[in-house]
Amino acid sequence: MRTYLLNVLLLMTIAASAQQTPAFTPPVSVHKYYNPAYLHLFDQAEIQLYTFADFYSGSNSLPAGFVQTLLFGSFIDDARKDKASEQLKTDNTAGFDLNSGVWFSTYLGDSNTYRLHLGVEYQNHRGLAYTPHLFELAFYGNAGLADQTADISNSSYDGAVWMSYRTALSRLYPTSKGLFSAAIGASFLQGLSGENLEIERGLIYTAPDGSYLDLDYQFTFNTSDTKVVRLGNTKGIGTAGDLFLSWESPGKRWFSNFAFTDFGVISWNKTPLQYQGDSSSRFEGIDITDVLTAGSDAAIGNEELLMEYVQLDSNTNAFTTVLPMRLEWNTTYYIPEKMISLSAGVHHRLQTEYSPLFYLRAGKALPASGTHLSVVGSVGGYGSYGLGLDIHQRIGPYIRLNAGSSSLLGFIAPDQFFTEAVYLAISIGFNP
Amino acid sequence: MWDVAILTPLVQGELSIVDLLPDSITQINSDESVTLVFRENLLSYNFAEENISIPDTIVETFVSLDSLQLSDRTISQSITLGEVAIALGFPVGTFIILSNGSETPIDPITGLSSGEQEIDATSFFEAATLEEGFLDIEVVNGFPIPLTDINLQIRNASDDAIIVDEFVAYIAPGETFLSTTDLAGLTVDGNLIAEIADFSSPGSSGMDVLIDTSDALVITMTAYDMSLFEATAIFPAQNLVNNQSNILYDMGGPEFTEMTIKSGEIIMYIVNTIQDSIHIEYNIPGAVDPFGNSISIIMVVPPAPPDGSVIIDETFPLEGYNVDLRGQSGVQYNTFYNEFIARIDSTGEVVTISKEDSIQVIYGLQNIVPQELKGYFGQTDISESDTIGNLGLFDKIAEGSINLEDGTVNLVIANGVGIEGDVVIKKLTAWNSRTGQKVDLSAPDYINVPVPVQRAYDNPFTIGYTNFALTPANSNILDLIEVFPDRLIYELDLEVNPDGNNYNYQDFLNAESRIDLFLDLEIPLEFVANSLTLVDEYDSGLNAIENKQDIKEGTFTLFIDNGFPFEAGIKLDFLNMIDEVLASVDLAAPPIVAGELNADCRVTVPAYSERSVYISPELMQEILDADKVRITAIFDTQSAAGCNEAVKVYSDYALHFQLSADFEYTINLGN
Repeated sequence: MRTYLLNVLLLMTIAASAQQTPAFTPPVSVHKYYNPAYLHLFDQAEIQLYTFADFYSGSNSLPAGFVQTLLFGSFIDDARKDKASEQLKTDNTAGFDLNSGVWFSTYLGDSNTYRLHLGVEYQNHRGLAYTPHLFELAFYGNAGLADQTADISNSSYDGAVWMSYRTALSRLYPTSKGLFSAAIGASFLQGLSGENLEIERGLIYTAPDGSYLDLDYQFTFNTSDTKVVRLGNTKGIGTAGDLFLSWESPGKRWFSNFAFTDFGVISWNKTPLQYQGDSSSRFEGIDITDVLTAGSDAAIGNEELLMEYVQLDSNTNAFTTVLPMRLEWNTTYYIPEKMISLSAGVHHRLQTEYSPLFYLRAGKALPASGTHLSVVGSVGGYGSYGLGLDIHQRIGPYIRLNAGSSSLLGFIAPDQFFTEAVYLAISIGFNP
Repeated sequence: MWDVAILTPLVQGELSIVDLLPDSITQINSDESVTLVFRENLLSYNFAEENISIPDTIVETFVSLDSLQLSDRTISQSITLGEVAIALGFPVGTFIILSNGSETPIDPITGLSSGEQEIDATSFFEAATLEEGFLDIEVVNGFPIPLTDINLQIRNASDDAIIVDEFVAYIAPGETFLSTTDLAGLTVDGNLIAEIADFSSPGSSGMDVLIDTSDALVITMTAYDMSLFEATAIFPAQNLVNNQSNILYDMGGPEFTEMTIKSGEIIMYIVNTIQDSIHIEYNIPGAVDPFGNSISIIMVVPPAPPDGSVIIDETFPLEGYNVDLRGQSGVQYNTFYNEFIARIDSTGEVVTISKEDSIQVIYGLQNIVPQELKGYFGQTDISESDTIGNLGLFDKIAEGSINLEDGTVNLVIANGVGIEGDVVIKKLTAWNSRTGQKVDLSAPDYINVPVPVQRAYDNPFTIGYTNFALTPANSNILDLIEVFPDRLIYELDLEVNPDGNNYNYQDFLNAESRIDLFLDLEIPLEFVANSLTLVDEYDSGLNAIENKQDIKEGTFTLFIDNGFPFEAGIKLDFLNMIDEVLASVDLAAPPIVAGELNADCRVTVPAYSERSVYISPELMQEILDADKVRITAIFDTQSAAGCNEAVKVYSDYALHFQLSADFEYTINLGN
């Protein structure tokens, strides 16, 4: 399914074309999400439908090809592992976001001053920080670390899947300094899956002959539960707020957007499980003396044994996930004489392994076709740098298609580059 | 999906002799040596079930209507002079009526008739066909004048069938005429018509007589000695069955005076074709429940429908009842007194009963199993011989041999029955059915020698114990043990009460009374083992592992610190559900090194061994497919110079083992 979705998105980035009304609509971001203030500024239909999907993954050390293989199930051979291993740094990060949604908006009242927006979004976020030893343990096993101590301290993992049931109210502010649009939003969050692992201290020594493992650890692992993720299985609830600002200069040469979204938390309180460990121990194998002496009827669960030997404490305390908040600002300067646009922006996701992503965009409008093509260069995010394309197509006054990527490098040369991204958005207006 | 190489310990443990053997069969001695203490209940003999059978006491009674009777009944009918005068009419009748109260002569009268007089005989029956019976007719002439040529007829109102037809030539005033009619074979209605047709009177012969129109000719009918073919009548209360008797059990020797019933019941099977309720009462006054209530069963069998029957089949449990078996006199034995009554209780209802109607009654006690018995249990000779299987002590030993230094077996008879007896052990054989080896017990003090068996005592209940101590000094008991028997063959005789009723009817048994034969085994663990092979099976649990195909080849290493003075070889066979060997891992050669005995002939420093085995991917999958794992361990004791060849096992001996693995595993995230 994920493969199919990615293929569709990728094809859309290179297939969009049309020949409609020439009009400049500035690009809004290098990632696709619903911006009510922006839409209020540029979509004037009485009823507007909007749908989007956005995928982004990156790492500061794992090549995109490695991630693709990991995510989509192909066999990771030693050559690919070796290549990835060569890229490892002291502190390694990786992240993954998959967002999609459907929105409806309409004016409130007869004037075009206020607009109501209602939407449903699926959001999936994963973030990982790991040491080289953790990579080696995970992908090579511990046999290569015999008579060595593997250090996985300060590694972490967080993951969450949730549905956002969103609403927003936007308003236009015509002023002498241009046309402003502002929107505030609120969301009810349905948590489908949440996990969080923090390893403050993790040292694993493997005896040369494998006769024991010395473990020294301090960690906390929270999980909403181990059951399958599905829409009908709510494991947590939460709320979030959003703020959007957009501005268009009087001469329609300058455009600017500000967004602060997903400011909220999810409390995983239905079936949470928390494991904690702060100890050091030597593991010499599961003691099966009792099993042998009790005869063949004896049985003991693996989970019980693990709990016993790793000395884990477990409880059912609820835990909270702070959402990966999105913070973005961008500005575009449009030169109508040359049909050229230049944009600069910064995009960030707080509470994640994401680094602020700075990007520059240069675009060219093609009035005859209603097309606006852009080239995007970026640095930051989950990975390092990226180079991508954006195609924005107007079809008549009420239909806009937007497909693009902040980084196509991971698709083009997966073993050399670290990020890959793709998005698609469709906006359709109606005037009943 | 990718492969990882895992190097990790898997399992470890430490097994001492205390771990390997259940606490219940190990005894740690003061010098920390270990003695195996084992008890097997070879025989549990329920004396009551095997020797005492309480016969059923079923009584069957059949009652038919030919023994039913109707009670004698009498009715009277009067014909007054006034009624006769009215029947005569004018002028004679009118003259008689007008002369009422005066004295006047009455002229001769002819052609008199009483007219039809209805007689209500339904107090006898509605209708009856009589097999036997008589009807007496008494006619009293209350008229002031004689009567002549009287023709008396009594007939059924329904069909005018004549029941009585009598001719009387003359009855003087104030005199009585009496006749008897045989009713046999007649069908008689309850509603009859009596008529004196065409009688005469010579009158008063000119004499004045007092005319009183209330003077009457009185006809009295008395029916008696009636037995019936069929009758519709109100039957009087009467017993159909009335049995009061002592029931004597034929026990064939034992003389019981008291019994408490463990299980059993009273049965009551009744077939009633009579259209009247049958009242049943069954009493056993000498049988009382724990609350002191005697058995008294009262029930009513409903009337049968016309041409039909009613069947009652009921049982009444007798658990817990104590029965006095000394009969009604109190000095008998094996006897209880009971009463059974089946009767018709007069309800005033009219019912039809024919000679074909009957009541069949089957009642009594059946399936009685005693819980407690007292009395004299008689003289009985019991011979028992059997093969006892499933001796569990040695069932894991597949082959090899041991030589024991010492051992004692006590054969203990635990007698929970209050009887005396003599027991003779005729034969005791240890049998290893796997190898076919058999060894007979040789013990001159016990074999074929009568030994008195201690009796149990009551209040409080105390079991009597009789012990046969078999040691190497008085028997070849070690030879029996060393074949690792899984079965014992025995033959023994028991003579009960050889001296008769010594205890004056005080023999007893109760709910706990059994005669058990125990084998108490005490074997100091000091022996020589030669290729002693122990085999055991466990559920592998491997079949439940998900994604087994992700587990690849690997090298598995077993680290062992052996604190026992035994060499050991281990072999693992992995089996499917039908015990087919899928894969084997043989660690038997070279064997795991035995711990060395020191100068005190004890192991103080365990001997270290390390054995590795490579499991190929193919073998790994076969192992993972196994449902069971069979572990075969082969032991050989290793003594040392200056020590006995037989090594002694101490409680602090232990074998520490650890299994580590260096294997490849495919991590599959399930994408």
